[in-house]
Amino acid sequence: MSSNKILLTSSDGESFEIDEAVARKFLIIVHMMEDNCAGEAIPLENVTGDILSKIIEYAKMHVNEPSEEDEDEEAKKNLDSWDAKFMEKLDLETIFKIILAANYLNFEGLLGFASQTVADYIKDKTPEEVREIFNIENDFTPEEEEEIRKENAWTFNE
Amino acid sequence: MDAPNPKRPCLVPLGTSSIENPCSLPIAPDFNQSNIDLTISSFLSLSDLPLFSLPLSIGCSFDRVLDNVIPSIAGTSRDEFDQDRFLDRTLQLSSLLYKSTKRCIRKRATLQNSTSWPLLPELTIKVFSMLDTKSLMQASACCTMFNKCAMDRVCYSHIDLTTAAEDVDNGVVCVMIHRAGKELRSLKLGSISSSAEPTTSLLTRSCLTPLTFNHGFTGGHLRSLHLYHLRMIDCESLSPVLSACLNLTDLKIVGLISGSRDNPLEQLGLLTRNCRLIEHLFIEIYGAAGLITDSSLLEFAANCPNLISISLLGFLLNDAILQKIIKGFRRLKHINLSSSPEISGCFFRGLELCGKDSPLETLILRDCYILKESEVLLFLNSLLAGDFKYIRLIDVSNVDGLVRDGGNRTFEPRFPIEELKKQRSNVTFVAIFESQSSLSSSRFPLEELNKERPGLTFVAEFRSPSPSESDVRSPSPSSSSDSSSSSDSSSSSSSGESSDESGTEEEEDED
Repeated sequence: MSSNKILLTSSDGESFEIDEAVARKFLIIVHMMEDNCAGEAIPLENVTGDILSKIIEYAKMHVNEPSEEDEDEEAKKNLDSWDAKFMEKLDLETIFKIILAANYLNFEGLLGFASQTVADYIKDKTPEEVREIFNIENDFTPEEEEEIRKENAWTFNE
Repeated sequence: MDAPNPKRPCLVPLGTSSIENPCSLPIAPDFNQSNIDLTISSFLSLSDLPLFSLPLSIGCSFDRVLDNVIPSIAGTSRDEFDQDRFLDRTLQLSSLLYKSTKRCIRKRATLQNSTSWPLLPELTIKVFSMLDTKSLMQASACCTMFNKCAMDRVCYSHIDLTTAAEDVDNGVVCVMIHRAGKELRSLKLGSISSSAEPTTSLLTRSCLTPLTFNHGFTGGHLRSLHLYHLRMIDCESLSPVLSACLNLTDLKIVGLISGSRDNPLEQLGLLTRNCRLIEHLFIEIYGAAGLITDSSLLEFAANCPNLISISLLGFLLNDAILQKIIKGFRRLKHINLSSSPEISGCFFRGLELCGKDSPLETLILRDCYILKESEVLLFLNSLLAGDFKYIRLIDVSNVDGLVRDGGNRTFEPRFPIEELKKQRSNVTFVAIFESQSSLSSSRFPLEELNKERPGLTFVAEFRSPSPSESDVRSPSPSSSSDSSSSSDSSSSSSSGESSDESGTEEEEDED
């Protein structure tokens, strides 16, 4: 049943043994299993060990995703605050890696959550602030810059 | 010219010859590309020379050369002309060098950006689609990569311009709608906080016209439309727009203007005539004084059979009409008719017939001035008898209390709360009869509690108002405006306080 264990191996050789139920959160693994190309151990070439361990940690917490709204709002709140703490500890670089890995693994839940976290960094900030946060440089030509300034005039006044 | 640097290949003579002979052909036929490149690179490498480490000294060198060259042309017949041409070309050269260098800098910046931001475009777009529209525009001004991703249609799927309400004008709305194209799903305009002056909004009545362009191309994709306190928004201006929004399921208008001669229900029927799929309707009218008749109710009900939640604030509805509404819309689950001064509650009686299987889940009748205690009691008794088995939230709060038989008002109605708790434990019953302004510091976080455990909380506070606060009415429109559009049962009760004497304050889950 779902007490089956699946072995995942990261690109740098780290192995993780997890329940099948948890592994099924990663649709890429579901597809592999359906196509019967999943043997005992599943190699994940595009994910390093440290990122994979974080992703598995998240997946384990979310393996029993409550689908009904009215059920147990307290459990939902606890989960939300665990999620918040989980993300708080991570720096931007790691969050990006998580997004890329979750995309590769096809793990929609974490992908959405991590994307929202990045979006929250951008929300309500001026372009200068966003550039600073993400270490981005302004590569517009003067003409492009002028045009953008005109188009976005309505966002400046605050 | 100074002596050529021994480290560099001696190509200076070539350069010298072209400067000293401006009359010769601009490019000699045997001047090939690699020679040009070498010339340029050796010129640029001038800055490496320790002698020229000071910009001042390079500047002096430039001056010297130019000064030397100009007199050397003197004496020929075309000297003025040649001097001008020469100087122009020199300017041109330096300008070209400047632009090239800037281009190079930009290319490096772009490369650097793709390292700092490693997400693929589709993932970037996914992140951007979670931003409100103003933040999206700010992000698009950061760099070329962001700009490109921010122009993708998916980012404009849910346009929310309420965060920059004072600065948005019709043009902005038009551009955003256009960018969304067939991905447009929801649109929010205006300023949500009711304290904002409607007159400061730059949007006019025709701001939504782009939805109708191209035979309603974008309008047809729209699912949800929320308009908050837009100036001069009335039925006449909205009708053509909503006619194009055939797939609208969620419509919310706060601040609809109704003329004193118009029948609000009729206007409602007009507005929703083409929106057959509509499920959530929230309209708050300002200025309705017209006679309300139910002549168009049948048509309205027939047009919108899928209606699940309805909130009509300021409509001056009466009991008869309310009854017809509940019976006419078979799937209606959530009703909010707060601030309806004509509702006494006798509509409850007519509902008995459909009471048992009624899908009704939420009933909010806050601040209905003539709401009678006896009618509410009747309703509660029918709940105890097993009717309305799906109901989850009832709210009859009123700053002026309820009407008691005999004409005076009560702030402590006698309701069978204990039995209700026992028999219908998953019902939230809110009945706050206290003016907001007299909130003391002993405020209980009942709102939070209600949200956490909507299924089990039962709350009822009763307290007569202190004489000082007389006619400050709670801002019911804004407080009740949130409660209905969400279909879950968490109540948005405006305040909670503990009660003193006759306190029947109970919180189920406070074990």
